[in-house]
Amino acid sequence: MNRQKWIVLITALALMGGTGVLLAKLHAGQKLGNPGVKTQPVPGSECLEVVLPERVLDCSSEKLEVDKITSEYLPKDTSYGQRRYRAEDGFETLVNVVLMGADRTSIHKPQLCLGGFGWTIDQASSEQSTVHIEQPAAYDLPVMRLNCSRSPGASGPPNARLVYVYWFVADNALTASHGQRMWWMAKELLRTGVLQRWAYVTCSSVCLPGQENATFDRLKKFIAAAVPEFQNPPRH
Amino acid sequence: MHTEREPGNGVLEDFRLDFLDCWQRLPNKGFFLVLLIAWLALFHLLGSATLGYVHSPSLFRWALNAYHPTGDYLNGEEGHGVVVPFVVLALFWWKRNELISQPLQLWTPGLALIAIALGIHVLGYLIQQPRLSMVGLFAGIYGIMGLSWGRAWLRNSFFPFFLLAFCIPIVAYLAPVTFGLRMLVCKLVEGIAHGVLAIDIVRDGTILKDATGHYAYNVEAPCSGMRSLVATLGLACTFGFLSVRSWWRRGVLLVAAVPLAVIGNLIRMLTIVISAEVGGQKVGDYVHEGGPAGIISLIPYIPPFFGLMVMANWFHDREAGPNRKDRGESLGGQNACPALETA
Repeated sequence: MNRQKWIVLITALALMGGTGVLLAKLHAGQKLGNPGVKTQPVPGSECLEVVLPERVLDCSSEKLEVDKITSEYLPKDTSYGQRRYRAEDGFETLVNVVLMGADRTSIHKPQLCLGGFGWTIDQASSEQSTVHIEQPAAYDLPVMRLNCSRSPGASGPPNARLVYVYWFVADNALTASHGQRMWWMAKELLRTGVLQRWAYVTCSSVCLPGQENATFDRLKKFIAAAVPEFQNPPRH
Repeated sequence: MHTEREPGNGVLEDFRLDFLDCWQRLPNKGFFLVLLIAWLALFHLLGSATLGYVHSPSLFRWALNAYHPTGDYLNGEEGHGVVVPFVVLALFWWKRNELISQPLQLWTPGLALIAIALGIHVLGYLIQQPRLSMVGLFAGIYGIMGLSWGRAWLRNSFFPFFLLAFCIPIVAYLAPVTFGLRMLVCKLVEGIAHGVLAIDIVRDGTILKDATGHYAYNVEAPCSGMRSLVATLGLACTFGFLSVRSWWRRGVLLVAAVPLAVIGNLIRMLTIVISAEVGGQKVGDYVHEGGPAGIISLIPYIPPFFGLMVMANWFHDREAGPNRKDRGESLGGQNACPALETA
């Protein structure tokens, strides 16, 4: 190899090596942002527990542990909070919060988990909506509503319907769009070096066919009452 | 030094001699290999910033998990990602004479390509988007080829190199497309079953079921035809570059891939429905699973393959015109595609 080739080779290798060092330093220097939900530490664990209210409106609740499949599938530093609420007339709502750690893959699309639990999303009737929150400050919470039906062969009543509402929240950031969440996260990382700590919040209720709209209206009232108890409002 | 073939040589021996011949004629081999190994090592050790579903910093490990989490690549929607690099290598081998006959020499602007590729990877790594890092990976390999062998090599290797884009897992982001395909296939199956085959089938969204409840199928995302669509697009690209010169005809082949893939998937779904209608859920399931040796799973690929081949052949003949024999030899420095040669 002649002298020019050696110089070019060393330059190229230096570029690659320098990039490796830069990547390691930048990654180590990334700061994790604050969550947009209320949390408390879990003894003996780096994870947190998302604190959900025990009572919302006329609903009492029971705390649920996250299932083993989910906890083993998602990153180890994922934090959770889950409660089943039951109203006096028997109406049930499941509230589930998944809070990421340093790994954004904790926040996954509902299509990944709903199919696994035996639900088929009816994309034609799914839509983005808003829920008006009054306390502690008034704002409109963007949510995504999915209507689901039982997959053939899945356990449970075959004609059951699921109204599934979800949104994403980080410190001073709210959205129902995956794309927007990822764009904001990338922008914030590049601008400030802070990795936004997103939580994926879901509220869902099972109903009979034809009751989806009434169920969604009831869920909206529930969300409007529950959200101020566990979610930080946006700062204007 | 050109190694002479002897008539009594077998295929393997001819390949060995050809390979040795090309190897000897290719300059800057050590230079290229050192850079390539360093490049791949970078992406293996600092390729992926997400340690979620697969706890590894390797971009290659991340990609394999994206193709299929348990390694069942044949049944994964992104499983073609494992095969494409070998297809690209095979096409590079097919183009070997054309590539080696170019003026091959060190080309220092290749360093700029490598720098750009590194920038793309740094961005992808920082914002935890491994797909962007994969773009950087392939761009960097292209840059290393350019640095080692020059601009003419880059120009002539663009096809098949760009086919590596099919290795980037994107199906997860194409839910609106897969849903649209699923609905289209379901509606077509419903229409044909009612209107042509007199099969009383009920469609509930993407669920197809018999009116009497003897069978039901949920056309889920894996049945959307995305796999056959990606394979068909890859075939269209390959046919387009092997057989056709003009870009607009290549575009027509690409566009034609979509309806051809839909037709292939439609035929498969109809086969399942007819089987279930005749023999019940069990027979339908058997056909759905692929039948003996998975041969029925190949049905979606038959219409696209033959459709594209016929179209490419027709375009090739139109371009060749009266001097068909001469044009056919000039398309690639050798016969463009033996399968498309007409008498």
